[in-house]
Amino acid sequence: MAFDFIVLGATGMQGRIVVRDLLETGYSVLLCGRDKPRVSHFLNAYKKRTGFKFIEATKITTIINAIKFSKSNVVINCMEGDWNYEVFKACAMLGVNCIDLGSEIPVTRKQFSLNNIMKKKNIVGITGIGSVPGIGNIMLRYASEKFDTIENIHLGFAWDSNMKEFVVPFSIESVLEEFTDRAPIVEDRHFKYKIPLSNVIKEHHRYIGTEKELLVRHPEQYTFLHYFSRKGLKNIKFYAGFPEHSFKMILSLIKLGFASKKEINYFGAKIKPMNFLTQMLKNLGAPEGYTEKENLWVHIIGTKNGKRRDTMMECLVPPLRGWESAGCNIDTGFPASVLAQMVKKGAITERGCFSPEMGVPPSIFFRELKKKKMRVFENGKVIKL
Amino acid sequence: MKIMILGHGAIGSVLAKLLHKEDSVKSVISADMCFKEEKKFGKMCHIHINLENRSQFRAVLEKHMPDLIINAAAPRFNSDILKECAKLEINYMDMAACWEPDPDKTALSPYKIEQFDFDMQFREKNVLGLIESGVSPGMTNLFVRECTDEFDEIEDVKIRLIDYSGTDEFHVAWSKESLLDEISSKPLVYKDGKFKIVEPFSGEEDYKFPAPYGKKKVSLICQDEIGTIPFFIKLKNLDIKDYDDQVDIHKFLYELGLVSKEKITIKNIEISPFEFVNKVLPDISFNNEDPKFSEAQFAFAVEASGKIKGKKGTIRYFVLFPKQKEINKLGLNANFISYPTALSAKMFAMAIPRIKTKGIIPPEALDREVRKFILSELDRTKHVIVKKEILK
Repeated sequence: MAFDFIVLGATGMQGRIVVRDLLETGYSVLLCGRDKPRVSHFLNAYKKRTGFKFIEATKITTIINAIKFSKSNVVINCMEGDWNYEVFKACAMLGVNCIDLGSEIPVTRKQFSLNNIMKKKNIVGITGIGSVPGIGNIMLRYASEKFDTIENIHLGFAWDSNMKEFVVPFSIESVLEEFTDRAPIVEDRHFKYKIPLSNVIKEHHRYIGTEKELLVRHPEQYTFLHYFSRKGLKNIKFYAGFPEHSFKMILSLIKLGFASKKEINYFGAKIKPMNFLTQMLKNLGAPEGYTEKENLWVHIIGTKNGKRRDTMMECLVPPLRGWESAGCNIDTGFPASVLAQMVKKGAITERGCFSPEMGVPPSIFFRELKKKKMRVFENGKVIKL
Repeated sequence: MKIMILGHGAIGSVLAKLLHKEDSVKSVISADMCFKEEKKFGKMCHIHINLENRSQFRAVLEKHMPDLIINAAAPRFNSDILKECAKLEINYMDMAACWEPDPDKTALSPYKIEQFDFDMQFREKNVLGLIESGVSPGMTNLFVRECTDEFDEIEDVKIRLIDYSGTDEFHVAWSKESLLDEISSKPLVYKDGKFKIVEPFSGEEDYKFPAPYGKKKVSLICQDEIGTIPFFIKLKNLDIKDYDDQVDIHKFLYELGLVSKEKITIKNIEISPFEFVNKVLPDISFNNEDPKFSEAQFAFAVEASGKIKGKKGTIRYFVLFPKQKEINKLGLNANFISYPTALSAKMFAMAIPRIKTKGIIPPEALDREVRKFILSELDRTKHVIVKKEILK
């Protein structure tokens, strides 16, 4: 059987959102991952439209074989970003389209190097289609068309929950890295690096309120500069906002040494505290009735017709009935599902390797988001589609 | 009195200094692994000891033959020390039990106070084992007896502790392992005359302490008092709750399963989260001189309700120990937990010649005269406040 889509990392948090959305929309999906029991409910409920293949990110042949087996021409890669280049390379070789949730700047840069080969193969490789990167990039694309020049872009996310309980974010590893790894900012077109926890500010965001934000490393600094330097872009900063109860607990985990990647000698075995923590938190659920909401924002400052222009783009993500257990991870999983369907339907005409601020038509994309109750605002007003 | 203190850690070292100042103490022998060789300083003596090595331990005891041995090392050595004390007819004292689940499923309490296994031997040898004799357990047990003796009939006893470190930043007052053990242990409550194991950090309530603390959030903790008091004092309900400004982080570690002793598998390796976390956690020792800890303080309230001459009443004792900044002035290198514990242990040790009872007993079994002596000692200690209130 030929599947409509193949999802790599289908057993993870984002992968499961993508899979569920595609299946509920009526598509067939080959689920690929390591932890089959975590998706057995999908396999049982959609027996005729699903299949499962065990893959191991470190063994690219398992991925290549799974893609070949699926006979699908759209690969949705929901694995950790470290493997994104290898997966893009495999897709380029196989001549199939691929989208992923984004990766670190060095990996993104390597992915972009596949642009020509992907163009030649008449396929797309779109990296960074989640919330931010993802929705944020497309909001920038939408707003940028109203600017002659762009000087500053500040962007980020801010979220909160109805209960002040610590619920494990989509990837505790990524979040701890965001808190501890040096954060690049673009200042006067040059990359500079800041220590996130030394640059904590308090900021107010509509729908969320005032909370702590810190500079974090994100691929947008690279992709925005890559595409918008021609408009004069000089400065980029990315801020991650957390509610106090979550911020405090993440900080505690760091202070207690769980963010460390230095191996601990455990009776002769070498274990990294970060890996231990990830394993420990894997099955920790949210309390009953727990919901999350989020504001994804991009603040653009530039000029139009010689006059200063200041635009705040926001995508407000409320809790979605039936998807509460996924929290605001839905705004990462849904965009991937939406874009994959756009690729499948031929709505993406651009070819090659790029990030979503290139080649993704905002109006079609935002219309799909609206169906998920995710609405996009321009300077406080809902954009008309 | 010749006293040997086993363990020269956070409490043992302070206890040694306190006992050294007492005229009636002829010599204090501090025994610990950390001492390489025997050294004497006036009436103080440091000796090397390895409690894992029973024959070496016995030889040391036979050589010194103290009048009293105090276990200030880990409670896991209690049984071995008790065995030797019974054999050599030496009085014994400790500050905590191992608090392991009782393998005897017919036992009244699900946790075992292992020291009681030696009661008969101690009685036969006419020696005393005063157990659980620090501050909590210890002084708390004694105050429970003080309260309850005033009643004809006891209904409820509440022990409420204050562990105020002055900061919500994680720190370890003495031992990481003990702290993790405390966090992971399920508290025991005594309700309607029966023992019941409950979830850690449950039973949260606002408790109004006397000034300067006032209303504070307290929750159930695992403490030894509950393992002895119902066997010595007839009461209906007893629980122990704690106000701790580190509770959020302790709760967090517990709720994430990070202090669980149930093994998990990572990369085909079986790992005990408890053991692994013990290795991961930084050695954030409590720096007594750090200004952020200057207000750190330990206190407890013991509240008993019942009937006196047919009328309902409630009596509460509140004991406030010195703040860290006041402890620092004593030059003992003690912290807000180790000082009250060592101070209480010293008072119990000094009371031992007055105790006529033999066998293994906890502080709530001490008779009125002995308690009076300890309370007067406590009362005249600088910066210790003892307050009695009739609440109803």
